[in-house]
Amino acid sequence: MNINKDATPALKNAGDGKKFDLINTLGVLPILILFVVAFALYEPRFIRASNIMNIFRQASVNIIIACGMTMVILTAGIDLAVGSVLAVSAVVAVTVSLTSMPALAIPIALLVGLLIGAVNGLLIAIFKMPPFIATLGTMTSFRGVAYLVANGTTVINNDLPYEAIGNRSFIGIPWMVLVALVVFFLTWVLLKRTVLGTRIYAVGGNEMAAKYSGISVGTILVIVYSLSGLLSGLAGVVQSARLFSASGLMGISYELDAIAAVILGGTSFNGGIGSVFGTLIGALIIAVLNNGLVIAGVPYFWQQVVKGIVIVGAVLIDIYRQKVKK
Amino acid sequence: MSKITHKIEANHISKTFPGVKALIDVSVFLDKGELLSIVGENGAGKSTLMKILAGVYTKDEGMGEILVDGQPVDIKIPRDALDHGISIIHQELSVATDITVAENIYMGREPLVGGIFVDRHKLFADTAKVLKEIEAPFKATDYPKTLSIAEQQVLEIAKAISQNSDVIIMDEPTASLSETEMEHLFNLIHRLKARGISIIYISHRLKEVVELSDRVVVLRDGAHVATMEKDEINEKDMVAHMVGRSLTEYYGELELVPSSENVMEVRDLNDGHFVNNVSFDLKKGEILGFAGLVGAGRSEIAKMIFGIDKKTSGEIKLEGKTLNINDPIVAISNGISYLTEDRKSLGLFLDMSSADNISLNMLRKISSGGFISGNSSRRFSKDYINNLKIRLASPETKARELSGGNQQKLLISRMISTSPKVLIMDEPTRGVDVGAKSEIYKIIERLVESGEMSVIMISSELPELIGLSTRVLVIRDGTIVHEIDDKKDITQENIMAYAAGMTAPDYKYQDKLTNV
Repeated sequence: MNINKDATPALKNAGDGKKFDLINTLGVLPILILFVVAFALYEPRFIRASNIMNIFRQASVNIIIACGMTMVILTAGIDLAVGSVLAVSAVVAVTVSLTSMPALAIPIALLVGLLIGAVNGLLIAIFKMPPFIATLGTMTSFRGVAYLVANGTTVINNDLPYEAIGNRSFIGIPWMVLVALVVFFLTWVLLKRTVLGTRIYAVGGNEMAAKYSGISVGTILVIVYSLSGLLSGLAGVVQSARLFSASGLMGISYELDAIAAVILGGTSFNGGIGSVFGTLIGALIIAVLNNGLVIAGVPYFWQQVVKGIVIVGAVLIDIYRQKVKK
Repeated sequence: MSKITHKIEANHISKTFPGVKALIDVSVFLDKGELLSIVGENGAGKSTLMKILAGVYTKDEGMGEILVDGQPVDIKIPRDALDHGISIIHQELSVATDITVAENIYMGREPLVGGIFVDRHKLFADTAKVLKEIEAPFKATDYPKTLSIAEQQVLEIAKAISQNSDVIIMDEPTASLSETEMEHLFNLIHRLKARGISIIYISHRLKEVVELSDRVVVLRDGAHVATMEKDEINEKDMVAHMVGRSLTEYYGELELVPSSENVMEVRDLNDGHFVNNVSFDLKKGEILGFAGLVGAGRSEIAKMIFGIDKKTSGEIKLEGKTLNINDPIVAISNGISYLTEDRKSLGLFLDMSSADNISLNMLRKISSGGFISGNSSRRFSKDYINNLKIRLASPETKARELSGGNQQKLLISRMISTSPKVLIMDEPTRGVDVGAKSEIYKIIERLVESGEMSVIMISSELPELIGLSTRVLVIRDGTIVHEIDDKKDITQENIMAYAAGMTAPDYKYQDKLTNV
């Protein structure tokens, strides 16, 4: 009997995964570089330092939201409420800034975001609602709440105490870009270097196995959706800082850009696979397209068409790559 | 060539999976109206061979051939098999429960009117005809959610008949059937044979194999080891061929001496519908075997002790302390681990690294203040990889890329990483190749010998259960029906007599249990 012969060949095969690791880590970075080079060749103004900074500034709100969205999608969930949370938090922030305690504007806005996120998490974890449905509901309701708090108009504060976040720079880098990069870095640390991060991957990769491993799946989900809410609240603060104002109309369909960034970044809709680095690249691709297509003089409707094609195309490439790997 | 033409013939079939040769040069044939049984231990290659015939897997290129009515055929996808009249009834039935029986049977090939509308009249009429032919106990308009598993199986058979299949493969059809349901199935099988339909039958239950088969092929470790014709079929020879090696080769290297002290006491465990009044003691340093047929309730008992399934009543004491286990978190933190029988769905994180898969239950220990350094999981897993001889390219290799045996060792590593006092192992060698099997046996024995751990082992592979257990409880219909506490009485015959219900339950073991 060839008992021992059969037991070992796994060794040879196991190594095959390695050579794809680089491609996996880089993800859609080559696509980002391709677009940057193409736009730069077509229109040299695109590559100017000031425009590059513009792109980062335009990407920053989406980066902040998409970092939270990455964690949510890693658990095989979805958070449609991010745009509404942004609006509620922004309106709350500006409203509080007009009271006698303007210093509380940011803490309260963040807390509001966190709490709405927790509601999402509880609906999903305790009542076992599908994330799509739960957050579709809260998205709708909290959009209404944002209009209500703003009394149906735009809340304006020309002396907004925290306007620097949206309009000023630190050592030449806009504060909002710095905020986005710090959020990115903290999310990376959380996902790759903490117990919580490993458990997020575990819950998304195999929820039943996570349960069998003594992981409290519900707790993880509540934390993840709360963090997504908190980051959407932060995005609301940043957005309102930039505008010196807030209204119930802010952040509409932002969830789509955030989801697009996450998916472009290679995070699997099925959960368990992906990285926030990919999301950063994904958000930058979207910002580069938005900016580059305008600079290149592409009509607005065509910009939409191209953006859609790029998202589908990038994901197709990703699916193909996964197939080749298998 | 003047060869005899068989209904179906598979010659020199091989199948290689990454890391495992699942089938090595296997040949079988079957004539019209015959029943051929394929038997062998788990992992012997039975299901692989059937899946090749049914087009679920493709055989290794360039070797062997499949002939139907003497003509070579190319079976690459399930559709090809159906086109050649081969249907398979999988162990896991794939019935859609919320559409009618008729819609199930004609799914994807409904009779149409005008090219797009379903001809419901013809659909139900055709189905009724097929159901009448096989004397099915349900109607075309019934919904399968109201049918028992046995009836759903008949539904699948009806589907095969409606597709004009004349070769039907049945993979463990009796695994979850009651005695009467089995009788109904056997009657149906006889009727099918009488109609000229050929059947390939896979089962672990040798008694029914003897009863039904016209020919038996025994596979072992992927190779064809024997063919037995009708008059030579008997259980004893089948087992000898299936096992084919002396058991001492694998088990019993260590002389385990359980202590008389109990580590765990379970009393009157009930789940309110199936598991009833389960009571037993687990001694320090013993391997307690849970024997029984598939579906006897062994895993259900284990999952209740582990806190996955809720108990309605009963008590679990660990080292004298009563535990209220309502969640795996409680079980694990008190020192009870459960190695699942389904490592892919319930155990592993296939897309995570091997190191993370090992260290997942000990994240608290390898982290400081919730933070984990880049290589702490790798460092933590190193000892397990070495001690359990896990073969992988690097600790970063994804669990998905490992062979079955090495995946199982990953999971065992995680289970023992928390230093449990009680380790429940559910089918610890399922889908594991032979070499890794004997290594896993050694690991289990070493763990128990060290005195740190006591093991409850659930296994459907009687040889390993007999070889490893120091004591055996036989489980049937959700309760313990017999105890075999003398190692030399642990035999296939003694176990099967109680597991299959041939001998009336014997509750004497309960007299020995103290009240707690």
